[in-house]
Amino acid sequence: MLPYQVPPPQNAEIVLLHDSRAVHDTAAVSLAAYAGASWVVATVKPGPNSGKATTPGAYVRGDTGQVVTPPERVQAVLIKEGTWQVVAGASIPGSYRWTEPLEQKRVLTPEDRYSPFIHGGTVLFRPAPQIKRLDDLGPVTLLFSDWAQEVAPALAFVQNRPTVFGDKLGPWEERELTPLLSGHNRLLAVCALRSLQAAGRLPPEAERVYLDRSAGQLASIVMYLMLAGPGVTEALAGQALDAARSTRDPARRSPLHLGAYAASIFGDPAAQTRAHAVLEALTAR
Amino acid sequence: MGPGCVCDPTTADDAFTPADAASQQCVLPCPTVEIEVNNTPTATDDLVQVQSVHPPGRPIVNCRIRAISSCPMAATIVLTNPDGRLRFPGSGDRTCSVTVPNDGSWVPFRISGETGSQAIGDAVIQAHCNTADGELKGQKALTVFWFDQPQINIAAGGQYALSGGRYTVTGANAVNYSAQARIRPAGVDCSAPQVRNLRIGILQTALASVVGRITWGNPAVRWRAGVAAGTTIRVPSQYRRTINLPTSSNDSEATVAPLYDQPGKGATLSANSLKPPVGCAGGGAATSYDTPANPAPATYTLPIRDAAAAEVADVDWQLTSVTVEPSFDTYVVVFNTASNEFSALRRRGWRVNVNSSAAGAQRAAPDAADAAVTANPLTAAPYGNDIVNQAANQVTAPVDAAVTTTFTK
Repeated sequence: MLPYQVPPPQNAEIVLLHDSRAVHDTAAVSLAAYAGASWVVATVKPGPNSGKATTPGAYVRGDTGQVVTPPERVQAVLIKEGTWQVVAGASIPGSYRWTEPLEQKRVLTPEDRYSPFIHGGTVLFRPAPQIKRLDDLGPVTLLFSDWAQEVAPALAFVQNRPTVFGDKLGPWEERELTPLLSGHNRLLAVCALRSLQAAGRLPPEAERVYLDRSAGQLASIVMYLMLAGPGVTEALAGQALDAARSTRDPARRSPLHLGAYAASIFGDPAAQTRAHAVLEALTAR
Repeated sequence: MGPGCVCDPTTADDAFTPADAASQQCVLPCPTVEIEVNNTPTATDDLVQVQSVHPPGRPIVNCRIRAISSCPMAATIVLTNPDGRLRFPGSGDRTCSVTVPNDGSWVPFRISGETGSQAIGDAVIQAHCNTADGELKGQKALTVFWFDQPQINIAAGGQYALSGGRYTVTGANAVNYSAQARIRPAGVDCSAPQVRNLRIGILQTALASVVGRITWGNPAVRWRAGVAAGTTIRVPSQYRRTINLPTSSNDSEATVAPLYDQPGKGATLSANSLKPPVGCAGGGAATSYDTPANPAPATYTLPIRDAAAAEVADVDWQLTSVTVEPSFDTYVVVFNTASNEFSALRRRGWRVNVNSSAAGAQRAAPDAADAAVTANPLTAAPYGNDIVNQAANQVTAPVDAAVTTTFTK
């Protein structure tokens, strides 16, 4: 399996940022935001100018080397442009092009950290006839590419049980969620784990066992939730740290490392501190 | 004073007529009086916050006084504060004259705190008959609470590096704040209305400066189709985007202003950014963080036109360096969550002066220690990032228009 065929192989830093955002986005995905609506999973292929800065309307006079700028003061912008191919969902291939101001921001968004519209990726979004800006796509979730086929059954499940991942977790919801943890659909498993964790319905020791039994990208996301998800307790973070310390298999450390790294990027300061402890434990061996 | 009131005239030699009664000072023995601070008989709210120096301000507490012994007429009571900890309520108001009716009804007056109490109840309002040194008819002990041990700690965090098209700190923050102060004197009831809305928080002024420069160089040309061989163009060798904060400003956003951060708001950074003072339940350090960063696209591109205004090529300049250069003054403040008023207790400066092309660790640099506040923190909008993001404060232009690179197809 080549898990990251899209985006095409790039430098290690870009791949790490891609995977970190995919962990974050999957851990935070709101299936209800897509269920019942028009949605699409698509592989995004950025155009050659995507990610470049420019000044709209400005140009260079090649004969003199002089820069000519529009009479009105125009800011430099970031170009995002490209095409997408549908992987799942009812939509036809499409294209996008918009620009974004190069702004100073108080807080960086996941899109600022890694943009699939600049570097590529597999994204879940709501297609629109006219795409002039990022918000036109609705909530954008960057997925690991081999999770794409799990979206449709997950959304069908949620459409039939609209309150199952809601804020209030009653006995009925708990009965529905628990089997999802051991089901075949990883998206549903992640959403179930997040809801149970937020409601405090899963003992830290049980979540540790779930982490130990998870593999690959799912293990990364479970680690992320244990460090930066809703309802994290010190006991839960302690289980995550203990899992890192007791991992002897080098191949096993990689997904745990990715989950902790994503928590260090996207988590709050407390999550960052917890994540750094896990990263230190994983690299100390 | 009603007609028929029997009282001694202010000067014994003066002839007294009923017509004079309304205008002359009466020196009848005054009634015994009762004073309530915060308009309640409760002792635990006999409190007033000390004045704020930066910004100037005086939290006011409403009080009241009434006669509790019989008197045939209204009396003049002069309120004083011999210990000097109080004012009534302006800075120059050392006494307050009130007319206390003889029917036992309350008369309002207001106080503010001038200097802090050393012990509970060491600020005393005295009620004197007619003059400031007249007979003492009542008194009330209260407390001017204040804050000591203020600290604004700023710890440098992670290193700056290029990541995902930004020059920023990844997986950590540029700086982490910790702010605290202790309420004094010991024993203040933190559930009292004058205290319960007070929190220790953080306020930050972004100082006027260039806050960043992004430089692109090493231009490469992409010729458009159909351009004739031998076509020659010249382009600037380097391009730079300079970001400027022309005036110092509050580093905040509308939802959390005037503070840098508040929990539970739209632009919240840290859920622990407001904390009760040490000495109150739940008291401790308020924390937040900051990571000034600059967008750093790897490429800057512009079309190239020939003398006939036809586009013949595109030129891509490659990112060569990014700087982040802002400076800040950060304050620990006492903040009233109900009124949005604050008082700055201590300040500490810090700055970022990092360069992606420089050698060595690139980190924020806080001042070695915090210091006394000497100026009022800025609070008004527009806020720092709003100013920086205005087109007028972002200039993208050749570094030196005279230095060009020539390409020939």
